[in-house]
Amino acid sequence: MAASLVVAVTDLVRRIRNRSALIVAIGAPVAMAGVFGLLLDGATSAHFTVGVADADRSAVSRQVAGTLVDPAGGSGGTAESGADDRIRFRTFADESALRRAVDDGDVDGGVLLPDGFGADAAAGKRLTVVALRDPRRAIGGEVAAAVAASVGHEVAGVGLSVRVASGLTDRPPGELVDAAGDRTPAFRLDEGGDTSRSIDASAFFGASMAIVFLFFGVAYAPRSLMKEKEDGTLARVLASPIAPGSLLAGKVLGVALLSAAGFVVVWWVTTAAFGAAWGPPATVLILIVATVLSISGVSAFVCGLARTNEQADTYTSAVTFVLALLGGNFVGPANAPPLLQRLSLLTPNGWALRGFTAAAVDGAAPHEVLGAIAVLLVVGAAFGAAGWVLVGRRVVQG
Amino acid sequence: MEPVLTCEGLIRRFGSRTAVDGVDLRVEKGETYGLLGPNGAGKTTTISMVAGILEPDAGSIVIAGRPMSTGPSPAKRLVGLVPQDIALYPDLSAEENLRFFGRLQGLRGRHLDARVHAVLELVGLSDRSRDRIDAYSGGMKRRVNIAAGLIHEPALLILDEPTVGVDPQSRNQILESIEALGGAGLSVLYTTHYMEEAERLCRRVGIIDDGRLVAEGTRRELVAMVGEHDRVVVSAEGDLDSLARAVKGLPGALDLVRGPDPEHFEVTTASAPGLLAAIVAAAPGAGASVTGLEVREPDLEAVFLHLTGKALRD
Ligand SMILES: Nc1ncnc2c1ncn2[C@@H]1O[C@H](COP(=O)(O)OP(=O)(O)OP(=O)(O)O)[C@@H](O)[C@H]1O
Ligand SMILES: [Mg+2]
Repeated sequence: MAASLVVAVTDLVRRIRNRSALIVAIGAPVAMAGVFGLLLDGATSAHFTVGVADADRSAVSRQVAGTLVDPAGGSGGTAESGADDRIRFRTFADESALRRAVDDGDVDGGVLLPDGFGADAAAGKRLTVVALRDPRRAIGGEVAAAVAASVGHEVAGVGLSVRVASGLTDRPPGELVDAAGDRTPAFRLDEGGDTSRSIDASAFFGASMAIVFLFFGVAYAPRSLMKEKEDGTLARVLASPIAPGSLLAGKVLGVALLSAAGFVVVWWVTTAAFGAAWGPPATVLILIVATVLSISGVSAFVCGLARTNEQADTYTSAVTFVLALLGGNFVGPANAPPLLQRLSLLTPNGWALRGFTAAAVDGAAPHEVLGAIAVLLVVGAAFGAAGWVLVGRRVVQG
Repeated sequence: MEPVLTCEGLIRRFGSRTAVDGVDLRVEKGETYGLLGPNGAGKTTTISMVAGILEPDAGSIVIAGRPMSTGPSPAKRLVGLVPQDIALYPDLSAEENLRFFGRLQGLRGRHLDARVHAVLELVGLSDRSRDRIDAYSGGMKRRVNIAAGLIHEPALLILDEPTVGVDPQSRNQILESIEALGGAGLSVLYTTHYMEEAERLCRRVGIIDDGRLVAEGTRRELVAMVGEHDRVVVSAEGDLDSLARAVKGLPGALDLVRGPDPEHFEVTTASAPGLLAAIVAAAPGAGASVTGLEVREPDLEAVFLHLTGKALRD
C-alpha cells in the first residue's frame, strides 16, 4: 500500500511536470465540455422544426396535436408552460408523410402520437410518444431527441390537461399540472420497434463523452508500465521488496485520480456553464467513483496482458473502441438497435451510462442506482485482480 | 562465516534456449566476485535471478541466509542492483530518483535524507543533485545509476557491466569507487566482459559461457589452469586459413583461435620463442606472409580461450 502511494505520487509529480496531468484533468475536460455545451447550445439557439402527426385521430390526440401547433388556440392553455418559441411545429397528415419529412431533412425531428394514445390518456396510463429521427445524422439525432424530449414534457402536461378538459378526472387541474411538472419528463422514446427507453440528451452526452474520455485517461497506465520496462526502471523497481501488483496499483491509482478529476470537471463545467442536468450530485459523484474504479480495473487488466509498448497501445485502443461501441457511448441508447442495447449491459460503461441516465432522467438517489454501482465495482475488482495476477506472472516469466 | 550469496543449480530457459544452465555461485562477505563472459553468456540472466526480478526454472538463491524470490521478499533489502542500462527517470532530478527508490526500499524521513546525501557524495554529484537526469552526461548518469543501487545500504551490490559505453576517465572513476566500496567491506557481484576489469577489481572470478560456469577461482588459480602458456597473436597477409592449419600442426602449438578480424589469429603455446620461428618458416609454404607476431603473458583472456576455444570479445 505504501509502495503503491509512492509510485502514484511520483507518477503524478512527473505528469504535473510534463503538463500531461493538467491536460488530462483540466484542459481536455474543459475543452470537451465546451464542445458539448456548444452542441447543446446550438440545439436550443437555432430554430427547430418538429413535425407532428396524429395516427390516433382520437379527440384527445387531436387536441394534443392542435395544442402543440398552436398553443394559444389550444384548449386549457397549459401548453406554453416552458414551451420554447424557437421550436416550431408542423402538422403532417399521417405517419408516412412525417417519416418522409424526417428522412428528407425537411424537419429536424418528428413526434408521432401513436394509435391508442387517446385510450391511454383516458385510462390514465403512461403516454407513449414516438420520436422520429434520421439515423444517418448521429449528432443531429441526439439534438432532435433532446427537442423531442422537451416535446414529450409538454405532451405529458397537455395529456393531463386534456384529461382534465375532457372530464376524465376529478382532480383539480392545477394539481395535475403541478404533478406533471414535478415529475422529470419520463418520456418514452419509441424507435418504432419493441424498444423503448427514457433519455435525457444533455445528461447522456456529458456522461457518455466523459466515459470515453476516461478510457483514454486510464490508458496511460499500461503505456507507462511498458515505458518503465523499456527504459529499464522496471527492473530496479522490481528489485525492491514490493509486489509487482503494488507497482501496478500505484500506476493505476495515479491515472485514476487524474481521470476522476477530469470527469468531475466535465460534470462541473457542463452544469455551471451550460446548465446540463446530471441529476442528484450524490448519485453522480458515487457513479463517477464507481465508473473510474471500474474502467481502472479494465486498464489494470490490459497492463497484465501487454508485453510491449505497441501491445499496450493496440490492446487499449481495441478495448476502448469495442467497449465504447457496445456500451452505446457513440450512438446513444435511443439510437441503438435492441441487440446493442442488450449487449451494452455486458460492458461496464453501458452500466455506467445506465446509472447516469437514471440520475439525470429520474433523479435517482444513490440507493436507486445500486445495481449499476455493484456491477461497476465487481467488474473493476475482477479485472483489477486479474491484472494483479497477470502482472506478477509476466514478471516471473521474464 | 555465512556467505552473502549462495546460489545452487540455477537454470533459466527462454523458449528452447537455455540462457543459464546450472550455475552455482558463492560470494563471501566483503568479497568482490567477478562474473566474466562474452555477450549472451547469461550474465544478466543470472544476476536478474539473484536480484529476484526473474524467476529461475530451477535452483535456489539465498542472500545472507534468506531465500530470494520474485515477490516482496525481505532478501531484496539486502541486495542493491545496478542494471546494465541506466535505470533512472530522466525527467526527475538525481535526488528525486534516489528518494523514490529509497522509499520503495522502505527508507523514510531523516534516514532517507541522510542516505540520499551520502550516496550523492560517494559518486561525487552532490553539487548537481537537483539537475534532471536528462541534463547529465553519460558518465554522470552511470554514477547516479550506481548510487541508486546503494541507497538502502545493501549487503550485496550487483553491478551489471557498469562501464559499458563510458569514456576512459569516467570508467576509471567508476572502477575506483567500486574498489573503495569493496575496500570498505561491501560484497560485490560484478559482471563484465572486460577481463582487465575483472583482474583489477575481483579477488575471485567465475568464467561464464553459454550459460555455464566453466571455471572459477582467483586469477592465479585460473591462469594455472592453462599452465604457463603464452599466447602468440599472428598477423599475416595472404591465405590465412591455410597458414592457420599449418600453424596448428606445428609442434608446441596448443589451442588456436580465429577472431572476427580476418588478419589475425591467436595460438597458445608452452614455449613462444621456438614457435615464432616455426610460424615464420611455415608461412611461405601456406601462401601467406607474416606481418606481425606478438607474445602475450597468460591472462584471463587466455584462460577463456583455453576453456572455450573462443575469444572473450567478438
Ligand atoms: N527475455 C528474454 N527472452 C528471450 N531470450 C533471452 C531473454 N533474455 C536473455 N535471453 C537470451 O539469453 C541469453 C543470455 O542473455 P544475457 O542477457 O543473460 O547475456 P549477457 O551475458 O548478459 O550478455 P551481454 O554481455 O550482451 O549483456 C542470450 O542468448 C539472450 O538472447
Ligand atoms: Mg547483459
